[in-house]
This record gives sequence, structure tokens and C-alpha cells, in this order.
Amino acid sequence: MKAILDINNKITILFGMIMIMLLSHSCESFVEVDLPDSQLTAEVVFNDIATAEAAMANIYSKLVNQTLVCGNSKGITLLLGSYADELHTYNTGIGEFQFFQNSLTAIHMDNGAIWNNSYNLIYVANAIIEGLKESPLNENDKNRLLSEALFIRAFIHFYLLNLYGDIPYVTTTNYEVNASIEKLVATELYSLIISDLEEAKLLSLSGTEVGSNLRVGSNVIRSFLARVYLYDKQWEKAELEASLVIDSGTYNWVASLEDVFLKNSTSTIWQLKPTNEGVATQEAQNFVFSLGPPPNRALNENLINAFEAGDLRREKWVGSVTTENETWYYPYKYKQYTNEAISSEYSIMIRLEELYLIRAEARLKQGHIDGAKADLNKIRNRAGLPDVISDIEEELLDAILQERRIELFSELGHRFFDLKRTDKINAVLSPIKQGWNATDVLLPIPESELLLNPNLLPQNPGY
Amino acid sequence: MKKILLFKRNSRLCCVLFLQLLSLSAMAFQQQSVSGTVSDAQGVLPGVTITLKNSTTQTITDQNGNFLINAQRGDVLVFDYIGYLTLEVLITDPTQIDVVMEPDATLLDEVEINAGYYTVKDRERTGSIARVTAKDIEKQPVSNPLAAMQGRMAGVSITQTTGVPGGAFEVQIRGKNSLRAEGNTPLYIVDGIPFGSENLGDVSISSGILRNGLSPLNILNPNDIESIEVLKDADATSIYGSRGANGVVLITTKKGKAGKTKFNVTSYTGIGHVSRKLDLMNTEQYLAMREQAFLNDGFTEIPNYAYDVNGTWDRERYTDWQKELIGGTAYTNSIYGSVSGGSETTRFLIGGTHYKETTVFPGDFVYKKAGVNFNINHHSIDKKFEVSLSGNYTVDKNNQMAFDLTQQAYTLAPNSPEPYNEQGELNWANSTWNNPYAELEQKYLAKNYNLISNGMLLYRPFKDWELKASLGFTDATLDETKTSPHTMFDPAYGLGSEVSSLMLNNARMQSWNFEPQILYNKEVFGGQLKAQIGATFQNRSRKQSGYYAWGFSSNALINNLSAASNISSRGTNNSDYRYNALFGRINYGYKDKYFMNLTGRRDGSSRFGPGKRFANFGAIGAAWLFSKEATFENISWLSFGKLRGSYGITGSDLIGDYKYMNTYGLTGVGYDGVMGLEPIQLFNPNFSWESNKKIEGALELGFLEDRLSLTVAHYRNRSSNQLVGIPLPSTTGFSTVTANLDATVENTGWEFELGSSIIDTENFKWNTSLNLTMPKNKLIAFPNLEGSTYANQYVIGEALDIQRVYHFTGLNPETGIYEFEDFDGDGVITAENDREIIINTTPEFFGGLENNFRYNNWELDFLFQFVKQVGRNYNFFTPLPGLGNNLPKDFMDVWQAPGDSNLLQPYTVGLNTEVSQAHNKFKNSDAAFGDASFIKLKNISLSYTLPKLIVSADCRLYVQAQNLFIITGYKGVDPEYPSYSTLPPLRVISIGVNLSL
Repeated sequence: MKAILDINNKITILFGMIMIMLLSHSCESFVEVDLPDSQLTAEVVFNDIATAEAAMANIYSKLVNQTLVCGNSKGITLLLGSYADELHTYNTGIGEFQFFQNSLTAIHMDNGAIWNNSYNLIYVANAIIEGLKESPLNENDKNRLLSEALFIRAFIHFYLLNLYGDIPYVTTTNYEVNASIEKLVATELYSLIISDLEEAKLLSLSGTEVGSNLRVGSNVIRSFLARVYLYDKQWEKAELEASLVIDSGTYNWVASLEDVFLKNSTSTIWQLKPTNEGVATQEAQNFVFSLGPPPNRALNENLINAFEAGDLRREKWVGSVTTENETWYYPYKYKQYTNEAISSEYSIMIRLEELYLIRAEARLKQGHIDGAKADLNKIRNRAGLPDVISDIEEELLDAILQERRIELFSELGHRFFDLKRTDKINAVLSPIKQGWNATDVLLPIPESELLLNPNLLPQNPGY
Repeated sequence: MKKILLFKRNSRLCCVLFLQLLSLSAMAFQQQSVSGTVSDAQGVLPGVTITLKNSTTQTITDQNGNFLINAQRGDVLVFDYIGYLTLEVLITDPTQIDVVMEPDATLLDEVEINAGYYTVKDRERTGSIARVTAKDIEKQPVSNPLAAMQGRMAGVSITQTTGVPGGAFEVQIRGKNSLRAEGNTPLYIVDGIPFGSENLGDVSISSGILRNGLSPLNILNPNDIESIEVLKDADATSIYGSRGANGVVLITTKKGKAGKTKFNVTSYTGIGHVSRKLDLMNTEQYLAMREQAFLNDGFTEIPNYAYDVNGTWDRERYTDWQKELIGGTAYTNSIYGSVSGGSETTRFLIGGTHYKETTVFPGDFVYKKAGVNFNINHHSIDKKFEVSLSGNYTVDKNNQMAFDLTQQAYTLAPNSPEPYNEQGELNWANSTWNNPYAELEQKYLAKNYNLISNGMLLYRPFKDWELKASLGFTDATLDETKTSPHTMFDPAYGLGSEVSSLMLNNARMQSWNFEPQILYNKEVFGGQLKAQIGATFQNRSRKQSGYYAWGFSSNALINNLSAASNISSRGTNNSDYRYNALFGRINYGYKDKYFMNLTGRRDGSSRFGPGKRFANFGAIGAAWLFSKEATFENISWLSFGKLRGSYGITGSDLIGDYKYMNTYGLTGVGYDGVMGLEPIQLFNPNFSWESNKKIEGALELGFLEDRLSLTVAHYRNRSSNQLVGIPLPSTTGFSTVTANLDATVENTGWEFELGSSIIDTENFKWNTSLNLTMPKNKLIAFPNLEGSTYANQYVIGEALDIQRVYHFTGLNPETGIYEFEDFDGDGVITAENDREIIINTTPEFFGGLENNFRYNNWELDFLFQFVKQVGRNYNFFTPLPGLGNNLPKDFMDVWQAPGDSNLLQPYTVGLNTEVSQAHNKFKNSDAAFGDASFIKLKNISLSYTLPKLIVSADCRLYVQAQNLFIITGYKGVDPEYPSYSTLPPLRVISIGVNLSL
């Protein structure tokens, strides 16, 4: 019996020891997990050029699909087109309708999305800038990526400034700083935007140039600088940057209106490729319709009436749908509106024509009447219109703005920004838009932002 | 001492084992066969263990209750059977011994409660545990076990957020502890295995129809469940450590019972409807509103885009869209069958179920669920070794339209066009409306495959000691798709199947769980000591990938990913979670009067950064059965009295994986051939465990031989070191960052449970029970709340479920504009300074009243669920009056001219900025909240058991109803979950039969 007990004891002791070993195996190593294959740490991303490029690709894909320059319902091409006098929104069930009615409130979803998506993209740009600082990549690649990221930061802030007025300029990923960041006034914002762009330009020139107009290279930066200087009324610099691009030899005037928006167009300075090959541009998908009445939106009749007689753009860049007793028009700059095997058009951000118009205005403001007219007429002549004859500055300025309205219609809210920066917006929109108020020149800062960060107070007037 | 032990019933197991150790060599001599039959009052008993006293000789009775054992005259046989009194019989006549066993009355009375790692007699428990059993679950025609728990448990608040099958429930055990909405989920344990209650769904696929997500528990079959225990206080939950802060829900599935093989089939069929409608405007009233709105906004003629008013649509047409869109009948069919039985040593249960539910929406949509479950357990005759294995595999298929049309039903203009034209095609009325029936083209399909399996090994090496190991494995797969064929678009866009698209989400979550344990149970110093120590190793890996595909040559191929001309990844989300713990418990019961329970756990979780991974949790609980004291024993009317209390710390790690790391993930969207990588979150490497200190005191009383019982409990839980996604302004790039916040949330409350057997006669029985919870939720500390991003969300001293709103002072009779109180007196009403009214939507009290009547073969049960609360009413949900949306008739009382004392602002089509801004404030004012209290007849069940004379089997016929009616003054649809855009929970009436033989 004793022996049996001993055996039993041995089994038990063995079993017990195993148990104790298992129980005491409570250790740090068990609860350490590897990162899953779907994620990378930030350091790893910027240790390798391929992953660093992927981080940059994210910025471009966000620009195409959701940031304010995109061609869908989250972008200003549609929203500001309706907000000003370019588009007429028919679908009362979409957020764009409140833009059309100029009846925005601080809780409007699409307005909130513009703000949120913009600052998210600025964060992404800042994360790249910070990630590259510690990165072992070669200087050429680093400078190029840094230049792109700086450009994006300035680019988005520029739009926010012109939509919301005083805004914070975010230059770090540190959320403790950004959560209570304060607003800056326009002059401070312009100097920060310009300083970022100038730095981006230098970096771009010192690094390897990007090989295509699908990404931001030195000419894109110069072109955008020209626009910023124009808005900031630094005429001389605006003219200089515009001239450098026009004379760079990289771009060629496109003679035929029908070819301007094709992806191979030689006048395109910067364009964004749709996410997938074969897909139509968001702009075409949202503008073109085939049966009336328009399901969502059509061109505003004020714009249709603004074309001069004989303007070829009225014929080439405007499409129409007619039923028994009514006709509706839509922007037809981008013509491929359904998916095909290969995309024939990409979304154009900046094109050569705008630079001529920028230079015309900058020259005019500096008193170079002839130069201004030459640039303006280049645009007009291609559209089958005669030269402007006036030499009076006021008239010429109006002619340039009219030309901008027609040449750049339904592109990235140019019309709204032009009316606004020339202080004509109330005079133009009040008579034709029932809901327009003087305070509508600024969009409301999303209410949730004001509640979370009181430093963003006060709300813009009128909201 | 040993002699005494031998005759103590509750120690008999130990004795047997002990004796075996001592007497292995003590072989009997001159044995002869003794045979006999064991029976009870009802008949023979198979599976009874018969042991020759002081030996290892054992046998069990066969199917007919017969046994044969080697013994001789003068020996003593011990008859042992679960649920019966142990019987010792001296052999006088060795040829035939017939034994009649008596059920153990005290055992039947002693309900054993599952406390997770151990079971405890209800009377002796030190912790707070609520329970529902199969008896109540079976009375309800529901597919989600959570629905069966509603209103039945004190301290447990369950809200059904949608009437769509598979939709989410909100579960709160003793209130909200965390500032994060997702941080309040309890831990679910099915047969000892943690059940992944995390939602695997992809919001962008499912949110159209399941607005608040999927309920992972929907995959469980109520029919499989034997009991659901909810652990509430520190004593019960601390052994779950970091996962116990929000309470623990233990689900125990049915097990086989020894005895003859039993077949059980239960089946019902039911019909479901939306039970409450809104009283909306008719066409005439609607058009009058719209015309007035245009007139008010200065239109001299109705504009061309106002198709509803300008005659484009038939101004005479009227459709009751509530009837058309959500007024259908949902048919429910359920069948469950099981076979169970076994001997005393080996028992089994095999069951299968099928459930089907259609929808109240138009179109043929159906939810189906089918599953099998089994359970086998065995112990050796000497009970030294036990093994059990159980498994449950369920598949469900939720086929719905991709969009919940409830909001459309309330807001669509009553003169909207016919949804279909004469050819049966979608009628777009020349592109003048968004035809809601187009949503029927978009389909949502979710398939769940869910396996839960677990095995348990137990070995008793010698007296008092048990070694136990349980191993569990779960595997949940969800395949979700949303198909959007081009036919959902207005043909005016001229689109073809090249835009038809498919969204796909494939998710899988696998986990294993291993828990070795050592248990010790011994009588020391005249009391009973129970101790256990164990460890947990858990690994859970989750893989999720999504695709978006579009461009199909034909819509017939739309479900086939490879038929798409374009496929883009929607990203991959894989994560691993590891969890490791050491836990223990010491319980001491002295003289069956004094009980003390100590539990503790050391937890480690991979969700925290290095150095922050481990933390300790523990609790102490005590109970005093004072009714056993001499002073009370003489009080005849007091049959039971117990005081219990507990204090301890639990925690929460419900924050998601990898939040401490600065990571980039694939976006699934590329640019110019390069796939994008984006920063996933704002990261913080320094956050650690949230801790929750719980204290409770309770008094349990039984009167008049327990005919009347009362439990009163008071609890206070304080949750601090809050682990939150701190809301951030978008200027930070994201909306939140995970961090510990030095804020403390307190939940206090009273819970009352009253049970009574009012009438208890042979033929008629009436039992009633009431549970009532009065919770209070309070933010008690929040350093620098004013300077934090929560400044406008929370107020110290107030509940978490508060809204800061404007105070609506009424309509200005001169201007017709809503006015609000200007709290800071600065002349303008601003969101920052004038939302000073605090509305608390935490229920003031809630509970349930159950009644059970039994008259001969008839049984009637009903359950009233009641909640007293404040909630958002239709003033919040309705759009701006005057826009092209229909509204409840109450919205016709509008101001027209100065001096009018109407309630509402004049109509506008949105151009009157003053009106629309005031309307937005109105929606965020106290006027948009109102009484949302209700009494629901949650469940009623009437059943009749056929007399045995008619059928040989037990046959029960029943009629059941869920949500039969509601009594409420709420302005809106269903106050249980105030919403305008989700289908309210349905009223289901069913008839069924239960056969058992």
C-alpha cells in the first residue's frame, strides 16, 4: 500500500509541477505581439524609398478622392460652383443644395468634411516632413518628397484661408499643440504659405525632378506661387513666376479647345490621375447627364448667358440636354463620363491658360497694358473671339475677370475666389441669388471645432 | 474525525477518493453477487452509482435500474445519484435488493449559480449575480439571447437598437463606466470561453441597414442556452480582472442529463409588425405647408425644381409611405430539436436548430440561422477523472436590402410618384425624385460561420485536490457583401452595368484559450475552505480585408469578384491580441453561516505599451446568513436572512490593438500605380489600465418559508484613470487620441428584487417577481475639464449621458422666431456659452414585472418592462419644416402673423436663414427632449400541456408575443431607442408546440 501511495504521489507531484510551471509562465514575453502584416511603424516607412513613396501616393489619392480639390460632392468644384453662380443644384436631397441656396450652417456635413479632410491631409503632409527628417534616404529623394509635402501643406492652407478666413496654420503632428492651436490672420497666413512654397521650390530644384505632371515638381510650385502672389497682390512676383513657367519650354499652347483636357495635353501643368485606370474623372461623372430634368445639377443660366456670341468654348465645352420645352446645360470639358478600358482624361489642377490669365492681371496691375492684352488675347483668340481693344485699366480688369470666368468655369471654384478677391462678390451675387448675404463670403467653421478648441473662436460672422 | 467525515454527505466525494487511496489493497474475500433494482417515486433509475462501502468495488445501474455487485451479507452498499439523497443499505438478503431513492429536497432547493470559475450555492454566494434560465428564455420568440434578457434582471439595461434581424443591442451592466461608448461592453463567456463580442462588420457595407452595427451574439441560439448569469459586483467580477469592469455575462449551454434518452422538439411560427406609427400629414396638409414655405421665402411662383408642389407630381395623390415601406409582415419560423441522455458516468446532448425571419420592408429578404451543438461529458466510476467536450457550430445568412427605409417612410412627400410604372420598372418620374424603391436593388448579405468549442480535463489525484485544464477554441468568420447594380440609378445618368459595384468584407477571428487550474477543497477549523489558482493564456488573431469591385459585364455576375473589370482593395486590417493572467480564489465558509470570498488576478495584455502591460486586480466579499443565528431561528415568519457585501478592483482594456504605436497602414487606394500608406492614428505610448473600484452591500430576506423573498442591493462603482479616445479638433488631423484621463465616473444605484409565490395550491399557482433598478451615473472628477476638449460634453456632478442644450423660451409672437435663453447675457446665442441646460438621458429607473400563473395544464406568463427616462423626441429628428419632407401633423401649428401664439416657426424652404438657424438651435434645445418613459408588455406566453391521455409524450402548445403593446406618452416612434432612421423593434406574435418524449 505504501508503494502505491508513493506512485500516486509521484504522479501527483509531476502533474503539480507541470501545473505550477504553467501557472508561473505569466510573463511579459507572452503578451508581446508582432505588428500584423497590414501595418508598418513610422520609422520603417521612411527607411525605404518604396514605402516613403507609398506614403506620398496616399496624399495624391486623397486629393483625387476626398480632399477639397476633388471632383465629387466633397470638392469645391461642385460645391463652390453651386455656391456662386456657375451651377444650379436640382437635387434637394444632397448637401450641395444648401450651398446652392447659400443657407449653410455650422453643422453642415459637407462643410465639416471640407475642413476635416483638409486638416487630415495636412497632418499626413506634416508626418511625412517629420518622418523624412530622421530618414536615411538619399538627399535627392528626401528633398523631392519634402518639397511635395511642403507644397501640399501650403496648397491646402491656401484654400482653407480663402474659404474660412482666419484659420490655424498647422506645421506639426503634435496633437497637444494642434488641439489648442490659434487662428492667424490673412497676412500671417500668406507669409507662411509663401515661405513653405519658396522652400518647396528650392528643394524641388535641388532634388531629382519628378518626371511627370502627375506629381508636384518645380513648375507646379512656381505656377501655384504665381496664383498665391496674385491673390496676395504681389504683382511683380506673380508675373515673374508665371513667366518662368510659360517660358520654361516644358509646356506648349494647345490650339484646339477639344484637346485641352485630354490627359496628354501639353498645356497641363499638374493633373491628378483617377484611382484606377479606365475610370472617368470625378468631374465628368458628376457633371454629365443624358436625360432631363437634371438629376443633380446643371450649369447656371447666368453662366450660359455670360458667353460672348461666337465663343467656341460655348460650343466645345458645354453640353446640353433638351426635352420638349426645356434645355439644360452641363460642363463638358471632361468628356469621358463612364468607365472605359483606358482613361482619356485626368483631373487638371493647374493648366497653362491660368498662368496667362495670372500674368495678364499682374501685368495690368503694374501698368503693362500691352503685355496684359497680349496674354488675354491669346486666350480669346483660341476661343474664336477678337482681341480686346480697350486700354483702360478698369475695363481691362473686367475683361480679364470675364475671361477667367469663361475659361476656368466649373474648375476648382475659380469663379468664387475671383469674385471674392476682387470684392465684387456681393454686387454680383446679391441680385441673382435669393439666399445670398454679405457674410456668406466666408464659410462657417464647423461647430464641433469651436466646441473642442475655443481658440478658434469667434465663429465667422453670420453663422 | 475520519469516521465523521464518512457520513457527511457533502464530503462524500472526498471520502470515496480518500478511501480508495487507503484501501487499494484491501480486497474483499468470499464475494458473491448481489443484484437489485433502484427506483424513485416515478420509476426505475438508470445510472446510479453503487459502491461497496470501504472498498473500491463499484457499479452502476443499467437502463432498467438493475445492478449486480460482488458483496456479501453484512456489507454496506452506498447508492449515489446526483440530485438524490445518498443511501446506505446493509445487505441482509444478498439475492435481491430493491432500493427506492429519495430526491434531495435541499439540493433541489439549492440553486447552484455559475460564477464562471466556480459555482456557488445561491444561498451562500457573496457576490451579486443575476440569472435567467431556459425556462424564461424559451418563452420568447426571439433570435438573439440578449432580447430574451430584457427586463428580467436588476441592474442590467438592454436596449434593442433596430428591428432589423442581426442588429445591435446596447447592453449596460450597472451603468456607463467609461467615457468611450465602446468601452462599456461587458465580457461575454460561453461555456468558459471568452466570446469575441467585437463586431467584425464593415460599417461602410452594413451601416445602411444595420445603423448601429451587427450584434455578434445573434449567432447564438436562445434554444441552446440553459442559463445566462450576469456577474455584477467586485466579488463576482474581480476574478475576471481587467475584463470585468463592465460586468460579465456567462452563457451556459444545455447539457445532457443521466436517464433515459430524451427527445425534445420545439417549433413555432410567428408574425412581426411595426407596432407604432406616426400620425403624418396628408397630401393636402403637406402641400399647404410647402406652398406657405415658398410664399414665406418670397417666391412669387413655385420654382421649377419644386416638383411636389408645382404640379409636376399629381397633387391629388396620396400614399401612406409608412404602410408601403415598413408596414409589411415579417414571418418567423423556428424549430429546435435535441436528443439527450446518458448514464451516470457519461452524458450527452445533441441539438440542432433552424430559424428564419423575413422582413417588414418591401421585397423578399430573409434572415436564416442554422446550427448544431453537442455536449459530452464523462467521469470515471471512481470520479477521479472527468472529461467533457462541447461544441457549437452555427451559420447564419442575413440577406437584407442595403438601406433601412424607415426614415423615408416618415419623410417622403405623401404625393410622391408611384414607385413602379406600368411595366413594373422603377418609376423615376422624369428624374424628379429619388425613388426609395431603388434601394431594393442594393443588397446586403452577411454570412456568419461561428464555431465555439471547448474541452475540459479534470483529475483528482487525491482527496481535496483537483487539477483542471480547459481549452477552448473559437472561430468566427463573417463574409459581408453589398451589391449595387446600376439599376438602382436613374436611367437619366445613362449608366450601365459598367458602374455596378460590389463591396466585400471578409473577416475572421480565431482565438484559443487555455486555462490550467489547481483547486483545493478542505474542511479546516470547522469550516469549509475552497481555494483555487489558475492561469489564462489567450491568443486572438483577427484578419479582415475588404474589396471594392465595379464594372461588370452583366449584373448577373455582380456577386463574382473575379468578374469585375476593376477591383480595388479597401485595405487589410489584421491584428493580434494576447492576454495572460494568473488568478486565484480563496473561499471560506464557517458553520454554513459566515462566508468569505477572496479573489484576485494579475493581468497582462498586448494592448498596452512595454512597461504598461501588467496590472493587479482583486476583491473581497463576505456574507452572513444571520437567519441561522439562534436569535433569528425562533422568528417563524423569517425563513431566510443574509447580509452580504463586497469591495474590489476590476479593470478594462477595451481600446483596440496597437494604439500605443505610431503606425502606417495600407489605404487600399493607390495613385499612379503605387498603393497608398497612411498614418493610422495619433499615437500615445504611455496609456495604461483603466481601473474600476466596486463596492456593494445587500440584504436578502425570505419570509413565510420563502414564499416571499426580497433582495435589496446598493452599489457604488468608481471608474478612474479613464482610458479614452480624447476627442480632438480636426486641426490635429484626427478626431481622437487614446490616453488615460484622470477623470472618475461613479455609478451608484439601488436594486430591488421581490419574488413571491402568492398562490401555491395543487391546481393553481401564481408566482410573481419584480425587479427594479434605480441607477445614478455621475462624473465626479475631471481635472481641468474646462480646458479640455470635453468641456462642452461633460459637466462635473452630472451623468455621462447628458446633452448640453439651449433653453428654449418659446416663440416670439412678434417675429415668429424661436427664442432661447441668453445665459451669458451677451446678446447672442452661441453654442459655446448658451447651452447651459443639462439633459440627462440616463434612465431614472427601470425594471420588469413578471407573473406566472399555472392552472392545471395551463400556464400563463407575462413580463412588463418599464423604463422611466428622458429622450430625444421628434423635434430633434424631423427636418426643417417647409422643406420637401413630410412631418407629423403636430407640425402644422405654425406662426403666421405677429401676435400669433402658435408653437412653431413659420415654414421655410431653407432661405430664411433666421428661421433655419433658430431651427438648428431648437433641435439642440430642451424642446427636442421629452419624456421617453414607457411600459412595454415585453413578453406574454400562454401554454397548454396536453394530458398524457391524449398523447404518450409531453406535448405543450403555446402562444407567445413579444412587444405586444406599449404605453407611453413619447413624441416619436419607439422610446426604447429614440430614432427616426432605424426600424423600431417589431411586435411578434407566435404559436408553437413543444414535444418531449
